[in-house]
Amino acid sequence: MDKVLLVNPENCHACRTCEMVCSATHENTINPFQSRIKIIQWENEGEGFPAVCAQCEDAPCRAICPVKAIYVDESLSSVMIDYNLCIGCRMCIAVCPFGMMHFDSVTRKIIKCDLCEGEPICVKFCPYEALEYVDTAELETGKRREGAKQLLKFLRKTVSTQNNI
Amino acid sequence: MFGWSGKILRIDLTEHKASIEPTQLYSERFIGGRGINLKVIFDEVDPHTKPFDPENRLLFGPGVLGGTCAPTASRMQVTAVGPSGFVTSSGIGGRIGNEIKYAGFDNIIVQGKSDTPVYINIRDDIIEFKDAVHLWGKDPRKTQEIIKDEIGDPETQIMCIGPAGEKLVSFSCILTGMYSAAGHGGYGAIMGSKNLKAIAVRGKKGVKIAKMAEFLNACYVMRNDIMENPVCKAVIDSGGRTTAPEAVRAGLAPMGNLENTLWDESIAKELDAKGNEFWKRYRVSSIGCAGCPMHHYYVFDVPGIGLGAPKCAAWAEFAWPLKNTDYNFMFKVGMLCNEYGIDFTSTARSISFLSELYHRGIITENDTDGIAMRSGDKDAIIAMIHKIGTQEGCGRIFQNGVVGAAEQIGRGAEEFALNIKGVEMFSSELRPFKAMALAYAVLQINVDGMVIMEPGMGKPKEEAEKLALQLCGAREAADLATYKKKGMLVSALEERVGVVELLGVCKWYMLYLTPFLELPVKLYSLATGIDAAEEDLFIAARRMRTLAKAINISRGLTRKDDALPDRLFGNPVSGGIFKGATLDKCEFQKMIDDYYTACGWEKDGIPQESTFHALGLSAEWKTFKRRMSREMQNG
Repeated sequence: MDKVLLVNPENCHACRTCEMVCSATHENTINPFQSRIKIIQWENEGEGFPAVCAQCEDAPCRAICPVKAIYVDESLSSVMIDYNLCIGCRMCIAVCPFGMMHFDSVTRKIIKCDLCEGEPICVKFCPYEALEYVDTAELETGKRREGAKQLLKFLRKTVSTQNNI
Repeated sequence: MFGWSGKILRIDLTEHKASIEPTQLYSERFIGGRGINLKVIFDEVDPHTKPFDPENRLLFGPGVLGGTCAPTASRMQVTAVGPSGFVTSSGIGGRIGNEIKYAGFDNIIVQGKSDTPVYINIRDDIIEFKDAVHLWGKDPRKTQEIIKDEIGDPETQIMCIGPAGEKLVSFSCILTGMYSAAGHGGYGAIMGSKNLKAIAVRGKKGVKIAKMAEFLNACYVMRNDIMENPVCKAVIDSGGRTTAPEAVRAGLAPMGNLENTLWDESIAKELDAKGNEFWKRYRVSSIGCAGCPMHHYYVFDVPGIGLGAPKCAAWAEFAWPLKNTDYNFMFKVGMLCNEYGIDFTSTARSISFLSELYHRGIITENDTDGIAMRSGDKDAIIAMIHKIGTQEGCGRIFQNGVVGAAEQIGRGAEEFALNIKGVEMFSSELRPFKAMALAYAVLQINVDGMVIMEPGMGKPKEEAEKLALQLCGAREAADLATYKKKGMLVSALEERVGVVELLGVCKWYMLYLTPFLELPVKLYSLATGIDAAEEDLFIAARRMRTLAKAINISRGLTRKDDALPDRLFGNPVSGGIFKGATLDKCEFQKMIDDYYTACGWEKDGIPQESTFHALGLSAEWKTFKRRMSREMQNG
């Protein structure tokens, strides 16, 4: 099945549990610095935003990699790193438009989201579904229906107001 | 080490030097968090050291589970001999404690005094002392912004003091982010006395866990337990807007300077309506402390006031103590307190104290720079907070809190300075709740309002009795009105609160969700690889209690200080669901006897020698005995 990590930023309360469980699973240590997912937090505004790898179809990291270490895993449609080939040149970090390729200075490796073999731990622990792992085909269905409903509501209201006038 | 980072950072502000010590010196007996903080104070701060002396220590302890994904485990303990002269401790949330753990430190000890204002920048092992002259006088939010810019790292976590802390106001706080603070107890003033404006931390080391897979599973179980708990659900659904009306309904809301409890269902309804409206109009988001699924901090954007997230105490302390139901006003007062870096509870107590004096004719507007301190007068309240925060004019009388203000005013004002051991009292009705009343009086280092939760509060009788039986072996302790067995109950609950403070788990979990700590203790075992039973941590909590008592006894604390303001005795509750309830002075003293017995202390509150030995504190007993005999010789 073709699934994608969906972010609902309005549900994020910046508890940063996702970062902690991500590093715990991948690096056997709890260290947000080594997490593949990043919560961008603006402490003074009371806002948080989960930043995840978009697993791009035409991934700049993959295109730029000089040793073809970045490949697409067909089963998960995820962009993966072959550590046998990776030379750690950090070109991928330079070109990723989202800043979601990381250099882990602890292990001295390039790290990125690998979707945890299809069971993302961040999704499991997220308390409020700010993160979901959903079928690509269903990705926009919910939003489309919600958007249409809002529009319908608005139109009905306008029409009835006009009629009253 | 697993769970622990293994290192304690010592910062000497006099010498501008940092050094490292192994956590293992302390962790076996004192675990972490508040436990280690207290042991360091016991060892290093002489009983004659005054709160603002450079020799006083300010300690930060994130706790063993701090920095991990253990749910709610981001409460760092801030401990010091406070401006009151006694050792106290308070929690601070947000993400600062986690970051300290990630930088590789279990605790931070701050000592000495810098010649000029500084802030400390911690990047893993690199500790820098940076000039803070340009930050002096800045509010906490601006301070954090400037430091982030200067360091060039927006992900840095910062805790700092506001202008009131610099001016040594005895109820100034240490704040982090836009919402969380070590509020009650005056740690801001201790930091200010050391010329330390802020501590900025960024860590990239992380926390190692002994049994990671099992640890994650247990975290998941605890997370689900929290999220399925009806209390948690109610809080999340209401978004905190029910704090005030529910407290009124529960009979917890004494008005003004704890003068009377008159607010009833009609006021609760008014608060419901106004709260709903305020939330609907102005709420922007809500934010949680690190690792907490409860996202307790509600962010509002109110035109003309600004963007902010005063903690939930704003909806209590600025409601009934200030006789006010206007949420815009509560928000404004909360923002103002955060700007100066002063504690909500103490501020509300100071204002209500002045109002009572004004209405009794003890003071007039001549005493308060022309401000008539009429009860509930919004302009007067705002003007007075400015004066306290800036320490200008009559605001200066509050430098040493309500106790200091009463001394300066004289004319019998002392009677109305409601405090416990020199710290302003929390605005909660205590008379109907015997165990809670006892806890407020005797729990020496927990100066904040969240002290204990009685089994009998808000639970059906049968359930409450079962809980009381499990907690202290006595069903009757569930009865709110009885004085019997309450000493044992408070002692048992204090131990449980102690455990969460050793681990860095939020007290909220223990107070409002469940008093049973199997899960946090299991997480402690899995994180550290030490196979611990609940009892092991209870013993550590008892050590902490005994040590704190010993510190305070050698600083002059006596049984007389384990007391509540006279106002609470004799006079019955004047309204609400507990109308008529009283607190009896004689019975209250018997409860204190029972509590001391449960703790293994003498009638005068001094821990017995056998208690020290039984807890493995024989070396500490020798130190304590030596200090006490020195006091005796000095007369």
